[in-house]
Amino acid sequence: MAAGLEPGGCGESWNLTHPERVLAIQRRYVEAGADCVTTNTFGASRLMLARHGHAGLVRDVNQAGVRIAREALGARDGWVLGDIGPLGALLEPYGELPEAEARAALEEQASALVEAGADALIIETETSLEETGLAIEAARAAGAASIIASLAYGLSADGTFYVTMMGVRPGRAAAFVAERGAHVAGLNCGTGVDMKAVAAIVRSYREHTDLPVMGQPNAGTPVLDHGQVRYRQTPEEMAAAVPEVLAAGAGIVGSCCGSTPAHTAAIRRAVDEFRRQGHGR
Amino acid sequence: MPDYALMKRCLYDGKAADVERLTREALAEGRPAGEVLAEGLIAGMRVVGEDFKHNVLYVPEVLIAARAMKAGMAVLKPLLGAQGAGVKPAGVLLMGTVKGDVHDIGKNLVCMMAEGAGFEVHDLGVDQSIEQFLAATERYRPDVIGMSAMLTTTMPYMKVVIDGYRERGFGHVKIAIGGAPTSRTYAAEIGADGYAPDASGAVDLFLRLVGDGPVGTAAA
Repeated sequence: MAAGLEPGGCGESWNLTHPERVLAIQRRYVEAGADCVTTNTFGASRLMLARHGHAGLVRDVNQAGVRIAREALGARDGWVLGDIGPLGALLEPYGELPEAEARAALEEQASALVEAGADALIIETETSLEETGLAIEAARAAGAASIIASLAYGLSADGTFYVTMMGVRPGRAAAFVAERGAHVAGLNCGTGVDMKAVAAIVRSYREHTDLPVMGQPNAGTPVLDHGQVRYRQTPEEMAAAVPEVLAAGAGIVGSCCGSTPAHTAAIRRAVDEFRRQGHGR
Repeated sequence: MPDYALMKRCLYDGKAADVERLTREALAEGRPAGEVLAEGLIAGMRVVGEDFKHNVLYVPEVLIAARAMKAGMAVLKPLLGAQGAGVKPAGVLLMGTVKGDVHDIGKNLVCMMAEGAGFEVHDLGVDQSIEQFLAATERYRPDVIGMSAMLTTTMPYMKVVIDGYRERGFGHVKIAIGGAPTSRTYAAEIGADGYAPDASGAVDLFLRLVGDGPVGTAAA
């Protein structure tokens, strides 16, 4: 947004129209110490691109996304994660999206990302097991070397547990994605889920799967500041809970909405410090 | 007397064919359409809404229940509008996702639940500008506008709409907002008349904003 994307504009099409801006943004995260760069393809499925009139650009947008992320990594040893977000519609019988159409859209995006050389695919911000399962199958069909399946949870009304809007609890999700053949069980974004909450959810995951676990929370909850929407959690506040997340058993930690390169840098320092103290690998 | 408890149970369980049949049977017994709507369908959706609010039901179950409600509503609709039926909607609601934003899962859920509470709902869809909201307002004369935004980048447009309404003399129309990044504080800051954290809360809010419509109170 700070780079000039108009509100609600199709950020994914920037991979084609403004690749230098996408590259500049991603480089800042690599310079901040990220090992993984997620491609700018969250909404680059046929169904989501169609909402911006770009349905014909699926291949181009996804392949450009992988190229840009690879270039951002440069000489650094790291991984390009090909991003697949939700389709933005509910599957039948709850919604009106036929399973075959969803499957085709996911397979198209997954194969474009894999062919362009993504090291892994990250299926993220999912809320239903049905769509998550279809996406994992699509990633497998595309021949992805590694598949990360990540769900978005919210805090329950009584504040006692975490659950997705479709009613999926963390333990069930972890067991499900493992059974479907994902290689990493993840969680990201969500409402009322900060780094500290991630630790709790990672512990639930750990009880249900031996897969590596990944957590990418938002930088707190957005607030309004002089008419501008801002996420208020500082890099230091966010990173403070990183040791707890790592101790809970997470193998990959990152951040989602509202985070900046400064958050990534703070997370990097926290991870390095955790290791120096003799924890982890 | 129709078995409204059974009708509510079937609606809760999402049994559309049963709800439709029970609706027809109630009418065949001579019950007024307004009563069947209030005691059966709206009362049934109220239970669904409560359980949704308290994490007993989630979006899939609510959608299936809403479909059952709609099956009954389709039977009643021609009768409700008829002369002398004496049934007024709880209120007229205009719904839309704001300009630049193409997310509509939550908004659609609110539309269905509001319909289930007896509102006449006009859904503008996604990516709606102030001009589109205003044109629809002149056309449908809504009591309440429900605006949705899913992105922190599109939510500021809600203020554009609210300011536009106040400036153009539509200050009497109540405006409610919702969507993942929004909050009560945000609603207050931009001058909205209310905020709800979920679809069920949105319906409660709409009812409050219209001072509880006749249908809304009938089954209370």
